[in-house]
Amino acid sequence: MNSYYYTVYGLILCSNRLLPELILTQPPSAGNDPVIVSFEERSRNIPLPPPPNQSPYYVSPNKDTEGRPLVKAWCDDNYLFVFYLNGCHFVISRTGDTIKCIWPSKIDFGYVIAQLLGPILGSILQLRGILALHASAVVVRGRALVILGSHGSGKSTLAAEMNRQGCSVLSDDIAALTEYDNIWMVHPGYPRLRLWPTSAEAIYGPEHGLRRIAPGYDRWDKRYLDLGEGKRTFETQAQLLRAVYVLDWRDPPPDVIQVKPLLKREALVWLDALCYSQSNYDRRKRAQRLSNLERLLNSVQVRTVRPTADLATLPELSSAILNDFEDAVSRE
Amino acid sequence: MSIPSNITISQDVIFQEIDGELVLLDLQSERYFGLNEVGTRMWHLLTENSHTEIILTQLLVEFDVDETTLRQDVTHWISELVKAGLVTVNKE
Repeated sequence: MNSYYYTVYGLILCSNRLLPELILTQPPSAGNDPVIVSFEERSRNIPLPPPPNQSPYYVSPNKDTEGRPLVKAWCDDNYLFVFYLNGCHFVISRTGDTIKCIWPSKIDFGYVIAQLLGPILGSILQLRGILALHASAVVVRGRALVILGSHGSGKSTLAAEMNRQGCSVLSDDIAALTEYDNIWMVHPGYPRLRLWPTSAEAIYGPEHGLRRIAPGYDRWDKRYLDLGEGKRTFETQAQLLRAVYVLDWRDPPPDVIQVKPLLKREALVWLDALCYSQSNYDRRKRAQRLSNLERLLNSVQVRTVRPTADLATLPELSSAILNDFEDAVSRE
Repeated sequence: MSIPSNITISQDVIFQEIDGELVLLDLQSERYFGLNEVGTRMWHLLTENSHTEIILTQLLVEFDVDETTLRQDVTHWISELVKAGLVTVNKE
């Protein structure tokens, strides 16, 4: 069986299938263990493994029309089991070394990859003790700017607008952070942004031409913005983290865009609440994460950003953040 | 209201100090709580000793406050912690 090696979020993946979304790399040297990713497509007639006999540690707040949660997750001593209502299953070793992806033939493979590159690798990073924020990241003057926000807050849209204004994209959906001697780095993701059609249209107009991520899955219409060609630049090297901007959509939205500093204790809560793997399945790791975030906040500035309700102000929102960031960088 | 004599921090609570103040996280509810400087000191004393009279005595030494006021404040503080599920009252 063929093995393909990829680099993403500072990890090396070893996959039994080609993943054109990712950046190919060489097999790793000894001591740098890859994450083994195995894919297994199943026909409808083969039953999927049942969930472990215990309560789920995670139940997604998003539900289908019949009130069933779209995602549930369980764990035992060795594995996390992440089951999607549509039949996609991911089995993750608690050592963060292996992922088994099982999905029914009716689901487009692009959808499976999108879940792998988001919440599943977010869990792997967390299991490996790497901070993984719900965030997108761009590069300005050789420093990483992280846009933090909950699901649907517009992180990718804002990163796309910043890219249009000349910034290289570093990562979408996950910002993987590592630290050495109080220097925090953000690792590159993969050379694409994922956008809803409304966001693509707001930035590039109705003829945006962005292709669907999962053309065979009608219920999910996200699009890929391909990066790494022409002006749509992508950064392939880890970058020094300088600032985090938290997208705060509390009601009511302000009439004018606001960018303000946060108290450290407020920033700690925002960052912890918006890390991947929010579950409490490992108390020790959660405490370690709070401790890591406290150290992060000693070297990184955090701002809250309150956008207006009008998507047409996206260029102004991007400019307001970039101006604030440039001020911070120029003070170094 | 009298002050409970013995209380214990819930096993579901983790905490982190930042800039001299504590952020508490209840892992069951995923709710965060902030403590001010005095609350932070009380919490640290609570991590070392579950007897509230010992905590009160230490606070009287450290803070410029009369005992009646302190007793009222600590009683209120503990009742808020109990209500939030952050500590449990141990039986006499």
